[in-house]
Amino acid sequence: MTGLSEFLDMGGYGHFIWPSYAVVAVVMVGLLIISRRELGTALRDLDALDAPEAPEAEQ
Amino acid sequence: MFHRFANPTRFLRFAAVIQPWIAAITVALIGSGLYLGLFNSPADYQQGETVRIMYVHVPSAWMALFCYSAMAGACAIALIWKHPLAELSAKATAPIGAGFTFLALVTGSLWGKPMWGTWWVWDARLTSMLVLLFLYLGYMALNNAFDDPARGAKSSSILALVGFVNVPIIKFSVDWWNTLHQPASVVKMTGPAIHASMLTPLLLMGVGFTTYYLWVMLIRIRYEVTANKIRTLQRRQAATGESQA
Repeated sequence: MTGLSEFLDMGGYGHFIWPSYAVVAVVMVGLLIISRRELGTALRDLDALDAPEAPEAEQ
Repeated sequence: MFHRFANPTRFLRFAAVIQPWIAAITVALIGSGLYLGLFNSPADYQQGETVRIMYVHVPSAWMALFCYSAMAGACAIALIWKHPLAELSAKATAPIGAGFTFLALVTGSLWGKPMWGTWWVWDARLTSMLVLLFLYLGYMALNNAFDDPARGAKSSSILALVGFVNVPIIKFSVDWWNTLHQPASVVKMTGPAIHASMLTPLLLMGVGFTTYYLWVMLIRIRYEVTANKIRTLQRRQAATGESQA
């Protein structure tokens, strides 16, 4: 076996180890992206609401 | 000094400054933890290579409990002192904690199959972790279940505090009931029972997951503060619209 396929095989346990790392990556990166997107949308909505009449400055 | 950040506007300014630093620290910690865990640590003499699942499973489980404790603490502060930021940080923490609990369960299952011969067992540790996931989901559902956000926050805070009883049960479940899940090997009275070559990547991942939590929590608190401002503005505009009509 080559070095890479041996590494990916993980002593025969690759199909348990790599899905573990994959699901952690998907959930953690996904939560980060969703949170950033929600914040971005909210900030744009706030700007749109704030712009037309520009109420008193924020305290 | 802490109460200075109790003011949401000041907190937002502070959050914007530290956020890139926390992001950089998180990437560095998890990156080096992954490198050491995958390339530079030995296989276990009993578990073979599957021990590498530990580097994501154990930090996820730690964070599941850490986030719940932080959330319950914030809920207590919100209920007692009516602190606006405490309420928002509890709300911001819940989905992160739920994510980590889900990850602890899934990676545990992927570790259990090759080592225990089963994906799942109704063992005290696994069952109490499943209850923790439902507590997070229940908190989030209850928080959004009322038209009046204040009522939602109050009811869900009480749920979070009552559910806190589950945290020590999870922690000590492996000592009280002797079943499949192994007892603690890092946090114990006699010191860690893991060799440094495995403990180092595990701790790097653990601290990295903690700073990841802070990173995403800051983003989510900024979101919650912005969403509150939008609600207030909409209510004010609706009120002036009505009075003009």
